[in-house]
Amino acid sequence: MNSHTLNRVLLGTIATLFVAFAGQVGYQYWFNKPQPVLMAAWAFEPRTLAEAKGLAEEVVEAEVTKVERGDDLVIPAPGEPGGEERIAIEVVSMKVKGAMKGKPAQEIKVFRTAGIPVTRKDMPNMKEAPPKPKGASDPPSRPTPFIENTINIHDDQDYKVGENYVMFLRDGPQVKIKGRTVATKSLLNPSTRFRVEKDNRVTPLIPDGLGQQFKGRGLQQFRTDIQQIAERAPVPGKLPGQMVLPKLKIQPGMLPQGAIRPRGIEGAKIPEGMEAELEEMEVPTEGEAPQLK
Amino acid sequence: MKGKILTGFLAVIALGLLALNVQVGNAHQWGNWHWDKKTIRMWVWGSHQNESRAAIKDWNDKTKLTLPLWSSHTDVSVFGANSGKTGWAGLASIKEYEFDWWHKWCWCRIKHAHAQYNSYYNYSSANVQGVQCQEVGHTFGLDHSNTGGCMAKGYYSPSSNFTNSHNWNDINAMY
Repeated sequence: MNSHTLNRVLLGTIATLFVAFAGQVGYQYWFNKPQPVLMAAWAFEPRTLAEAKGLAEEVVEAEVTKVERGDDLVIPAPGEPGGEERIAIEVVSMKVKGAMKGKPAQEIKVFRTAGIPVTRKDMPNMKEAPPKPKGASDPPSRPTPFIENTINIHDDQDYKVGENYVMFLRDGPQVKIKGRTVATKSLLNPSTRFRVEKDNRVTPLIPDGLGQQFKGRGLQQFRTDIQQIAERAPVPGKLPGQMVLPKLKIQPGMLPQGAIRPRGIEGAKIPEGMEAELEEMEVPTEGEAPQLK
Repeated sequence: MKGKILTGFLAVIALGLLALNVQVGNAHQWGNWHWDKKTIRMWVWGSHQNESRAAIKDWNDKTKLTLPLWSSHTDVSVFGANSGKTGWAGLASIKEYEFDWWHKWCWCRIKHAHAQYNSYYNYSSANVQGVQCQEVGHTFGLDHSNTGGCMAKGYYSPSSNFTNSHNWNDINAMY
């Protein structure tokens, strides 16, 4: 190859690289704008199935029938723009097919933190909408369109109509849907939500937490496991009013098999700090729910 | 000769730009979220301010970040407030962001973030600090991590209510 050809090849390569680069940046800028997710620290952190059963008020098998938007949770926040903090929520309606703990109603509503708060700045501005045609009905009072499952807590994944789950639940907040007050349940922890697959095996929804040890287990076996396991409920702690989960007694083989929630260093000896983790673990007590706005 | 120098120069520039465009994510990083500065101002309000301040001080003292406390709305709002029985005791959210033209080439530069402790749930002071330690860590762009410290709290064992050397290294690698 002579130097002239080499030069042309190099120039062609450079041009291609520039176009590829500009294309990538353009794609990122125009087509890859993310909806930021939220990160949560869950109030209840069961380390074992027995603790999950002890902390849950109900364990149900249920099918998703509807996902709808609830009115934002609004916290007074003097000093924040608008003087309030808004958290968007969804309400998932589920038809109960069975219960492994508790006596749930035939239809339950499950609370979920998700969606776009109504005041979000990049939502369409109704003031810029064209004039209302004669005889048309008024526009909806809520300017933000409901797009289900936008902005999720990263490990509280979306629900789809028709899906079946085994879920560990506690009483959730009273919320409003279009002004109507609704009582809800809330998920104990994302690691205690299991999708029932078409082949009747369960899949934990998240890759961490205690759920992974049940991946692929048959639904009937899983039901039996939950029903038969003796629950470990919180007990009073040393501080006044404090509740704790009792110290975990490690059974032979429990640590290497990961029968408690994942450890930092799988397959290695017990890491530093692990003993403390297996001691009594504080469980929050619950206060007074805020008044809905 | 001039042409060759120019060609070589352009080639280096093009390769450099491509290299910059590779969005390398740290294993313990929350997506590509990051600030474009090392001094991030923190505004503490609401309940449990002592625990929130202690969590901020932990990150401030142990990492490259400088986290001055501010008396009004600024880069990060750190607060305790009652959101009811939501199931979560802490929530971190990125409220505003912009396109990063000079580093990662994505909509991932944080402009404003919130770290909330849900005071509906009553914990001991140490655990409140632990929750806020994790939420504040998220607002710098950290994910949960399996290497202990407060970024493992609730997700992996062992964990604690304080930052640890792995958390410091994760931050120092980012900033």
